[in-house]
Amino acid sequence: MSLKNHNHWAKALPYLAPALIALAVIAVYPMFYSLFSSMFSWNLHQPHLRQFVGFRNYIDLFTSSRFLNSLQVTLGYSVLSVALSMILGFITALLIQKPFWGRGLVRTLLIIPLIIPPVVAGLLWRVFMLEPDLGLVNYFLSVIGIQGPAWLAQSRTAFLGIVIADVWVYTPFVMMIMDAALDGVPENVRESAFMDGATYVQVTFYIVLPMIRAIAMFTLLFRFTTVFRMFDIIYIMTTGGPGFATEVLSIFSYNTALRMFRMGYANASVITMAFIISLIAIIIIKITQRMGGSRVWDK
Amino acid sequence: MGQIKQKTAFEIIRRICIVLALFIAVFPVFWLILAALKTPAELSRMPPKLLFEPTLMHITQIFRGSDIVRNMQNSMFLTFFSVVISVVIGTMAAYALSRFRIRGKGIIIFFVISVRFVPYIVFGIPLFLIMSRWGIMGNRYGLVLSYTLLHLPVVIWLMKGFFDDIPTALEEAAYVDGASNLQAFMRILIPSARPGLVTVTVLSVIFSWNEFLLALILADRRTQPLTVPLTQFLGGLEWGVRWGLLASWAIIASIPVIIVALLMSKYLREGFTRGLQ
Repeated sequence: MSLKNHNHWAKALPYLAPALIALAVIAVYPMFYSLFSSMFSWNLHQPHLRQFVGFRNYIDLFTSSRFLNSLQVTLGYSVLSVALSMILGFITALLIQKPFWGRGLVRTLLIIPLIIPPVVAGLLWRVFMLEPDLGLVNYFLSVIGIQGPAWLAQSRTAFLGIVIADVWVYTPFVMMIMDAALDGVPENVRESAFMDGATYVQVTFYIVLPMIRAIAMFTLLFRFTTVFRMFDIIYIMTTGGPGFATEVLSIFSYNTALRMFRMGYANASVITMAFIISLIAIIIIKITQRMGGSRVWDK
Repeated sequence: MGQIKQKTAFEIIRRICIVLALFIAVFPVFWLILAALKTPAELSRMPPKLLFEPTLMHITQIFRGSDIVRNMQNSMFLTFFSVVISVVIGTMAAYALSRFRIRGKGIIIFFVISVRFVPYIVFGIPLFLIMSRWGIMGNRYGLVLSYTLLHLPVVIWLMKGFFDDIPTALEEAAYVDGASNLQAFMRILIPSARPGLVTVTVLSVIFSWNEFLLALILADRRTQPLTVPLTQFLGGLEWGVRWGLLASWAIIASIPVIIVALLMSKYLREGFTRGLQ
């Protein structure tokens, strides 16, 4: 018997079936359930009034200023948080590239923000860092003579607050991947560029970055999907407030479903979310392929 | 001469930046630990003091006055079963995807990956409706099943990669000797992929221990894990005592994953760098 026979479905099925059945029950079925429910006007307060309305919920969604605001907040938050974490993560990876005493421990300690529960990270920032009177951030600001704002009480600073918390959590993620990618760049490539009189910045931008661009693109993809699904940090820090200033789509959908019990509408919202993230993922993948990036997809 | 000076300056700046990065990453967590050990008076002292008389009052109060022990048991239950299920059935699926030529493999892989990319709230809301309709709202087995959603795609994807890295020569030899593919899987692939199994287990343990959204929506008071009750402390936050309780609870919820991360950082890094988070 060879491994190269064609169509091994009969033999593969016993191994594949449990996982596929599990995914069918917890992923595919809920998605279709959601899609189906999104066609109904359905409030859990009056479940007997459930009624088919076609695409009405989607039309309502895209004419609702609250939803459009949420879309805008999500995109702004995603782009800002992804950009900052990518830049800071890459810089940190560069910093710890060359060996130094205690490097192993530093690399481990730097990922702590990533592995503590995101709810804890959110609370940490809401209470112990950004609290106006007793938080550390305003304390440090006061040391250098700046009076810090009441962070989470005002729209603009609250938005900044959730971005800061998200960047704090996910910068280590980018750092870790970039660190591994940089390990894969041969030392002699850099050395010979330095010999030719290139500066550190030139080597980084023109030699190192192009070599790891495929990995960078996939990191970008993962960052977008993680920031897009972010719920815990924002829920615990602001629950979408003040007003709707930090109400990202996850929070909007949650509030619509479990605070207002408008289930048809909430399901239309989550289906739209799934659609948007698919679109973003496809764009990033296409760009990566055009750049001649890795074949991660069909390895 | 000038160049050497410049290099030293560069090196000093680099060291300073590393210390700064370390400070930003670790100090907030360290500060949380300190807050858990401070008296209310100490908590509201401005400027804060680094050296103070520590107290265990908040921690003892939590253990006496709340359901934390039950929440811990729930966290362990959910983590243990969801990880075991995901690692077992995910590894099996990864083996099939790595070793058998099957039609539609690309579609299956794409499907598995896209599950990981969809925001959890997209599954959370319909699962809430489905579980209510089936009358199993808050049921711990339903929760375990919903948690496997977090790990299965990661386990399948990473394990497939680990299996792909193992040369097929050993199996070919075993097949010549008349082994079945179950024997090849159990006796050759599983032992060779042991580091991979540790990696996916560590990642899954951290994901399920930290999970909040699905538990918030699908668990009830009897079945909720450690992360959910943290929301209860949010009322009346000005009050120093609650800060202490909050910090203590947060630290208790974080310590297990911090220990796992410190002990298993090699595997953690491996898991994260192989992608699909």
